[in-house]
Amino acid sequence: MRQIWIILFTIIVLSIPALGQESDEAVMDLDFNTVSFKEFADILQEDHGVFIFYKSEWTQGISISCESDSTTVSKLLDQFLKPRGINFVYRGNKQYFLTGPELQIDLEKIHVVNPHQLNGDSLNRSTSKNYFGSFSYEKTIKKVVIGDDAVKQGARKSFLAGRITNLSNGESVIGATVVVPGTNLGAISDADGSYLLPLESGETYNLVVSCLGMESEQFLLEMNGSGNLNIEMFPKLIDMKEVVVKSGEHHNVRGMQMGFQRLGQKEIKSIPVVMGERDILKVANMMPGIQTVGEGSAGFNVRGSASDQNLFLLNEIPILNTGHFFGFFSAFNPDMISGFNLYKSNFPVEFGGRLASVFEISTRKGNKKKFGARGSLSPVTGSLLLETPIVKDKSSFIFSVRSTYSDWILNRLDDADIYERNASFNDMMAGVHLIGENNDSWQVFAYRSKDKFALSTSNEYRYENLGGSIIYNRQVFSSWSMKLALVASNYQNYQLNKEQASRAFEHEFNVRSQEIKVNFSGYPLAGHKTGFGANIILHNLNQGTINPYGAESILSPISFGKENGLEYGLHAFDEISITDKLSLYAGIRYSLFNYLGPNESYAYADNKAIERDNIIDTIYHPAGKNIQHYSGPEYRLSMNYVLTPDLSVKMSYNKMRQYLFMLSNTAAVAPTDRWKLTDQYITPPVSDQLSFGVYKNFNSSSFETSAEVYYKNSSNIIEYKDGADLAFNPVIETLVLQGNQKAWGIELFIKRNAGRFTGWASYTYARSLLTVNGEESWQKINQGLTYPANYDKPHAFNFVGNLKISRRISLASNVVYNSGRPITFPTGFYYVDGYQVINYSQRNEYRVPDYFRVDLSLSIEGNLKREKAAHGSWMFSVYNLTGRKNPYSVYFSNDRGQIKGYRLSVYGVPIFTISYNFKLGNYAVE
Amino acid sequence: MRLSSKIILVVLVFSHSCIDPFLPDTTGYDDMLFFECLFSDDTSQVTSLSISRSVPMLTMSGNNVSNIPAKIRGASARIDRNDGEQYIFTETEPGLYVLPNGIIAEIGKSYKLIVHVEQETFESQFQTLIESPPIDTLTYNATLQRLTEDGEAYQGYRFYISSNNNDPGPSYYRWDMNATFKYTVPFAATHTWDGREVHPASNRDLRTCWKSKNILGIFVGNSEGLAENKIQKAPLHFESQYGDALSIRYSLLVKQHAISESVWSFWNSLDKLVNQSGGLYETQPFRVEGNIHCTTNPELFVAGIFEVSGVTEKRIFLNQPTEFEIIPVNCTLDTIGTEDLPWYRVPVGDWITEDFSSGEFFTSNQKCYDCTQKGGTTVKPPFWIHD
Repeated sequence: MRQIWIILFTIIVLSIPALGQESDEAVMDLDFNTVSFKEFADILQEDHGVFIFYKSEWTQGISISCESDSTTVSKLLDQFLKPRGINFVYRGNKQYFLTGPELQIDLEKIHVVNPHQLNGDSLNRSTSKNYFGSFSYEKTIKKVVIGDDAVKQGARKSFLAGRITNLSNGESVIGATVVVPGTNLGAISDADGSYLLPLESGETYNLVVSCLGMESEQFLLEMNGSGNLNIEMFPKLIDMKEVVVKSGEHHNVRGMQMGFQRLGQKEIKSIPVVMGERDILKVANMMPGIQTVGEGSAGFNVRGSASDQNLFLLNEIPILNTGHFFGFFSAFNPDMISGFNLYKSNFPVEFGGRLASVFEISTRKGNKKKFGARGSLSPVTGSLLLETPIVKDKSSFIFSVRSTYSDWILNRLDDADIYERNASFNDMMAGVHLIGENNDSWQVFAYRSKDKFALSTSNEYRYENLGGSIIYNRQVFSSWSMKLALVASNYQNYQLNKEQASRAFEHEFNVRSQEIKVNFSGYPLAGHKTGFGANIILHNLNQGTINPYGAESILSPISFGKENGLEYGLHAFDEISITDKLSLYAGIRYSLFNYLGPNESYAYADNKAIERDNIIDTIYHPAGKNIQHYSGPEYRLSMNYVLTPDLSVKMSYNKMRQYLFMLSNTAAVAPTDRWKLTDQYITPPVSDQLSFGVYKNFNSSSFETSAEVYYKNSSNIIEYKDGADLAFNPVIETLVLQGNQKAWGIELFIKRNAGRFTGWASYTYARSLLTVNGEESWQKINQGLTYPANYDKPHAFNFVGNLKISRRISLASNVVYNSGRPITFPTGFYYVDGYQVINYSQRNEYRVPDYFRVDLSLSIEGNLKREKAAHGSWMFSVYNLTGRKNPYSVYFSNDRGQIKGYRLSVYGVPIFTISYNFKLGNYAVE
Repeated sequence: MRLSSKIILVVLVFSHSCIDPFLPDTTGYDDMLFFECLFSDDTSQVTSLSISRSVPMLTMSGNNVSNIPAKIRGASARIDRNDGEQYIFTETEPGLYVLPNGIIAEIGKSYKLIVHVEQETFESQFQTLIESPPIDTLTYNATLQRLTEDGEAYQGYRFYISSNNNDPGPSYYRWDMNATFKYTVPFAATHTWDGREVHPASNRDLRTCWKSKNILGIFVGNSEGLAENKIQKAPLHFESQYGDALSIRYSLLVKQHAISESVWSFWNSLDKLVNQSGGLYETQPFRVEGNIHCTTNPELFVAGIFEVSGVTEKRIFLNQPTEFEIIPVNCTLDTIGTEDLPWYRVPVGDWITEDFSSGEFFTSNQKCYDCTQKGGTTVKPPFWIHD
């Protein structure tokens, strides 16, 4: 722990020299001797990547001379252009727009919205008029008047609300920032594209709306009262040389979030893939603090926590099994995903129920302008996505399907062990999105993923995620928005095992949940953003019965019973801007859980081990009976202190509780793992996490850097007794022990957002240690000594880079290094009846060798013609370029009487794949 | 929870995985005593107790620590019967202690092992001898098996056992096996070589042998969770197509030990650790303790098993398989020639074959002339039945 503080201290010290720099404009060493403006602009562009947009007739005759080692472009432009009456706008990201001489602004007042009409149905889409001509490189600034200037009053609080949509397809633009530059006024559009910005009436604002992949929009806003402004954004134009506006920019330093990652479609696309499948979970795995046990395993470990402590929400639907084909591929079709938010700490109050992370995945809502289609073909799957408006600009329908198109890979394998096998998976998503008259919106979404894997001679596995959600968003009063969601999901799993005919069995179980949640958020007071809400989840778990299979099987059925639970919570938060620089988020969630009948449980003899031999009674609980109740507060506090516009420090403290967990004692998540509710014997795990971070952006935010440290202490963590047999023993409390887990780490992150080369690099040092040391001798694991968790990998380095060679060709690479995972090695052996057997060390005392991998991919886009029916692109990728045999596990086996050690690598050779993607329309279609 | 090894195999093959031999460097080593004592009602077996020390794993990475377990000498040991009778072990060779001939366990009686090593005392719990039901059938069928983790698959016969117990269950079993097979060597000799010249001789009496081998491995089963208290086709030993074992006639003797649940779980845990570890869905390996504990120092970690079992047995015979081919040990004849006596490169006493048509002399690996050199005996075992 001490080391971490020293490192952190060093980082802060290193950052201090940058504190004085107020402007985000780059200071440059410039030396010109009587050059024309054109030459000046060209040199700046060439040498410094600065773009100046201008009309050549404005700058005729200007010559520029300067010799300075610390000037800015603004200073020079001021010096040489102001005398000619030429103004300019600095738009950030090294882009300057000359506005021409003698601005004759003919502002035309646009539709005026009376705040009193807000709840009526007479709202029209705001229109706007170009401020300047129609040159594509010029910035468009629109003037908007909100509220009725006839009732103009003095300064008072008012709200600007609206929806941001993509002009080309009518889809909501998520994560767009609406800010007033130079102030701390700002908002971010939510998953529905809606935003709500508190302002003062009677003021005029310069409003900038920006989002990744969109042309930013600028408005001159005259606030007379609360009102609506719907904004349509253009997708980034192709003929523009460089516009990189990043939604995270506002967020990274000034936002409250920490321990947070957001990735959009563009970034997901630009990462090398394995077997031609783009995979958002593999992308997430490249982020700091996120580990997997090994290659091709389902589930992650976020900040040293077990994989069942992550909540995956796909449009609010909880997804319990996120992997296809045992985790080699993710269960989310990447074409359909518009982006994800990943919370590792500082969880917003509306989320609960898991200790380690929330993985919020949102899908595309469909094109509201015109019909679109796209698809891809890789060695493993084919996929197709269709989208269409139902009523233009009002509603859309989107549908995607992805499926393995043959078992040809398996059929190619010439191995008698696995003949007549069959492996397939598919997933489907469908959604309807409607926008109502009052800016309210409905989203209806359904999801299904299916996996089947069979070996005709012995085993068969099937599992299915099925879910649906209805999300309703609306504005209530002028300053509040409401979100209501109805969610249902069902995870079903089937296993057939015929390895031994007399013991052949089948087992089917399912986990069902139904949830209602409602959230309100708004701006009741100046400087406050407030929200509150509630949710209630009914869990129904049918653990199923192991039934004999086939005439030869003499197995007696084993019933695992049914479980029901009600998980509910109330939450509220307030985000306060205490000063311009200091903001605070204070939230509380009170979560409650009732373990309900009907159910059968056992009673154990007093002061005896909870073991089957000590069962003294069977208790029957009638339907609806509250068998056990748990509840407790979950605090969510965070603080952000902005030192300079591009430097901030943040702190957060979180408490989380979990009532549903996975029964798994394998190193990686297995396809047959069941889920279980906490009950009268197994108490809910609780964790407290404290984190601290420093955020600094450089070079006009084209570089984002951050350093975060965290310390997490979890109690009641579920571990399993040595050799616990979860598959056949239905009395789970006899297999489980609960202990304490301590995890801490430091995460360093640097990301480049702009330019031809983009990407990120991260280094993480993290530990995760478990202690199960109960009072009784049977309540100990590893003799009560602390041991590293299976996923404790102290050093992790990830690099993701994407080089755009031309507009059609780009090269991407991943470099991954991490410490090997802990493993228990044998330390000695002995002979039983002449047969060599091994004796093991303490748990996880050793590590498998370190992991290292390089991937490379080249993507080639089809031609860039504007008018074309369809656009195709090819992706060539090599996974594990160096062919390093990264050990997944090391184990020992008796080979004809002698113990031998073996190393198993999942991908031991470079894997080359080609995949093809296509879509209707041209290159730029989103 | 462990998935079928076949599933893992498919996943691995699908994903270009590979398995390589690997020896990790381990530094730690826990010195541990290991006790093994099997006490049964089998009259053909002398009851013995072996006490040894575990061997550090370090020896696997090639340093020169012996990999033969150190034997513990000078211990005193006895078995107590629940009615007070005591049987005293005597040390016959280092670390090996035996009971006098003829002392066997009796059905329904309980026994306990007590050992004194230096100042410490080690004891098991009382264990009652459970009668073993007769073995109903021993069967076999042709299957494919990977003999080593990184090796290729072999064909061969997998044996299965079925037995039926009329007592209410569940019953727990361990099976041990002894195989005997008849085999021949391919070449008939015409002469022997004495270093200077050849003498006419025949190896007729050395061409057919019988060899017995103890089947190594852990084979356990139980009827827990079954509707009837019976074992139905539990898998046993796998005999591969390579070598002499299945070449002519093969016999397998299976001894069935009816054991207690705790003894069963000792064997089962060992089996899991040794034969079912690794893979994508491996579980934590752990220390296996057994049922012998140090009573004078409970902290002292020992492993050991005192198994009291009722034994029944069954033997089957089978002839050369038709389902797959037998791949014998390679035997080739090398030409020695007719001239240039003496043959310096031919060892004294070797068998020689003359091709009478050409007058050429040949010889081969002597294991291809003399079956006793492969560890067998030319004496037909008394239980051997012709087909």
